[in-house]
Amino acid sequence: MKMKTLQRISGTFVRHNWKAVTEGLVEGKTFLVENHGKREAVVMSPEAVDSPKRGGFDLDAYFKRLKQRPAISLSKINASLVRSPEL
Amino acid sequence: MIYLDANVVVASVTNNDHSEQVERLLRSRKPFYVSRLADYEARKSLSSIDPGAEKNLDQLLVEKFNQGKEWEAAIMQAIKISRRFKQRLWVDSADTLHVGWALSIGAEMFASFDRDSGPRALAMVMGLKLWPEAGPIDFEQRKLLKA
Repeated sequence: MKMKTLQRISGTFVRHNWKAVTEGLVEGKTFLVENHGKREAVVMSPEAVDSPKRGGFDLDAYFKRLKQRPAISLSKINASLVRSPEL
Repeated sequence: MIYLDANVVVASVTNNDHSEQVERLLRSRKPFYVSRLADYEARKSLSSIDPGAEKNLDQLLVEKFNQGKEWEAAIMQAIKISRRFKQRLWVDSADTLHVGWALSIGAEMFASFDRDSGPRALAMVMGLKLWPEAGPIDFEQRKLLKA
């Protein structure tokens, strides 16, 4: 993939083409850019870049092991994540 | 890139009634992204429902998921969302931040089982695809954001 120097990208190009910009990103340079004088967060962060970790993980073994654990319901999962009403 | 909401993260590390659906998702060739926010919420959830499953999360973060710890870009996107929707934004701060985080990393898809508090509808309005696919509840909630 082609490397892009995102610090130098600014203006309406970013606003309208930021997905195209991120597709060319190999290593994160920055993810806050200037757009008409304002900082905007429009590009992929360094941690989101493709890494070699994918592909080698044995999902068959993982889910086989997972299914041996006690089963819980999705409603229980969702209930455990409910937040208090905001003030 | 597929952004995983906390409930999907928890569902991916526990044995639950949606495990097969989650397994199909994880077999996708797309990269997966877990924000520090989703990681925290998932660990908080696991501490109450299945503490032993936290090691599965550790493993997936090493072997399968990309993890993001950069809050600033996500917060700026969430603020942008807030300014756009103003009083129509009935989605809470954390769920808005999840959607903002997904946008900040250039995610194409937002994976969430939360059909109650609005992150799926908000993600849809912001142009993200949904996993599982959008249904009647999502479309109804989207109307509230457009009203």
